[in-house]
Amino acid sequence: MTLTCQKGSALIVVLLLSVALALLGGAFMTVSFTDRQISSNEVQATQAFDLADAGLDHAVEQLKDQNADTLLAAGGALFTNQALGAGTYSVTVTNNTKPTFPLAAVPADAGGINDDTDGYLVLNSTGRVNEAERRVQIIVYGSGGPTMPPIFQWAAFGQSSLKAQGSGNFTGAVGTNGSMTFSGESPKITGDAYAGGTVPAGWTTGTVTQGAPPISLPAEACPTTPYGPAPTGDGITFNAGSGKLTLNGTNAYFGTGTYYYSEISKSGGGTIHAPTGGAAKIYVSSKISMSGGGFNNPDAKAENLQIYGCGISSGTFTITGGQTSWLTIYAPYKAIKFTGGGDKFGSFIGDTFENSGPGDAKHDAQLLGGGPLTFSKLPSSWTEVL
Amino acid sequence: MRQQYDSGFSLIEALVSTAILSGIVVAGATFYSVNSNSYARGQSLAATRQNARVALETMAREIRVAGYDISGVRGTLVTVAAIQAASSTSVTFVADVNTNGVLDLVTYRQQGTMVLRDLAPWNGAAFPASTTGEVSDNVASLTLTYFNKAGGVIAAPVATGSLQQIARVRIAVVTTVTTMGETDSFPLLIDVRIRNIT
Repeated sequence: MTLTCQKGSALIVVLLLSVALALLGGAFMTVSFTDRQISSNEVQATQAFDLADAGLDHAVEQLKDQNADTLLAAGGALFTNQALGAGTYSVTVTNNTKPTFPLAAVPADAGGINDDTDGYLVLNSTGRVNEAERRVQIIVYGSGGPTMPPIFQWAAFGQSSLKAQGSGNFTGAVGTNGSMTFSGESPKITGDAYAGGTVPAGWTTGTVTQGAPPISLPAEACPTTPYGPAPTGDGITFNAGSGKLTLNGTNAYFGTGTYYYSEISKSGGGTIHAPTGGAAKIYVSSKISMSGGGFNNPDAKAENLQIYGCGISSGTFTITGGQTSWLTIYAPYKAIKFTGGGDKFGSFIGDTFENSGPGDAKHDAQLLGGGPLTFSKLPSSWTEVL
Repeated sequence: MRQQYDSGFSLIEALVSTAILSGIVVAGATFYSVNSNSYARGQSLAATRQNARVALETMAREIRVAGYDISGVRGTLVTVAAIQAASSTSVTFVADVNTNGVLDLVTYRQQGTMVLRDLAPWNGAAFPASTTGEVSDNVASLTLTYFNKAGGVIAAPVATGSLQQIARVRIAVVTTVTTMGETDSFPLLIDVRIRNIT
């Protein structure tokens, strides 16, 4: 019995020592584990930051020749969880709108969240590596783009007058050599107003210029080639003698090239399709009457569907559009009337211009410039978002 | 015979066992004390390291955005460069570091064993007197090295005319901590490429 008791005390001492050692060992491990965890977090945070920064550069490159308005309307996601190295990056593009803008360096875009009218865009990039996440931001400025004459700086311009009623509004600069008449929803113009005559007070968010010198709108000459060709699709009648094009079907497809008609008459709910990767120039000498349907412009580029009212005879272009449309109209001797829903992006120049809504007429900033559309980083605009 | 063993310990036995036991206890206590000191050192070093890391990361983040100014004030300054003054132990730059739309004048400098940060937000006409905060303690040295775009070192203090050339800043911080008479030093180094240089 005694022997066992003696053995027991040794066991207890050894056990106590072991427990003490184990506790110490555990404490050491905790300290070094914490240190290791800190280092690992730091590595991941650095990687996440570099990914976010790389995302910005990728985005600036990716934005080339893209239609910013389409991107914005689709939510602005340029990259979503793009894998690179140990993690991913996501980049979104937003428009420079209130309340963050205007800043002294960057004005607020009159076009609102979905319409880039001034070329400025804000890129936000998030880099992620496991739990680590870092975000950086930069402002970019687009320049270049399709070569269109400077007259296409206007969202809408009426040689004699400009009128808007109901919920037919404008985004971008709007002008007339005559006077403007507004009724219905306000503001009518999100942007600047320019008039040789008068602009009713209180309908414009931007600068109002009245009694301004007239802007010259030269006539567009009609093609010297015969009328035609007809677009492809269904329900299309084309009279090569009179030059009248009648669209009664569901689809009319215009390819890249020049078209010439005396009149376009469209009934029913069919769609006029613009080409992709090129421009259809449609010359119409007297009249366009649309009583339904709209346009489909897959590239969402206004310059892909150019309608010219040619010659100096008067006539009426009645344009409907059930969906968001991109097109330009230059018809300085024609009365242009917009009806129907769906916003129309582009530039619309007529003798008189009347927008009855409910769709808006909005300027497409990408109409101006020339050369490939590229985006450059605005100096002094890079920051990390904490 | 059994009865004799059971009756008690002999003096010798008691002395020997006490000696052995005290030997074990002394050894154990020494072992524990060394280890606990070592643990305390480890913990204190870890805390200092963490402190230094945070300080360095804060400095790096703010120096990285040097020149960030969407308020347009920078263009009106006497020195337009993002970095306004640069020596080997302090750096002064302008940046909207808290992204509130107001340009700030920020200085990082070493004073004694501390790294201090002076902050002065633009008041519309000038940078007013700055408010100072402590970024890190236990700092043995803060060394700043400046590089141009080509990677060449720009001698510090940087001449006013050369401030515009600073494209990259290397920040080296050595923190030291003394625990139980033992001094540990912990060097940290980070390279910061300034994004908003023109």
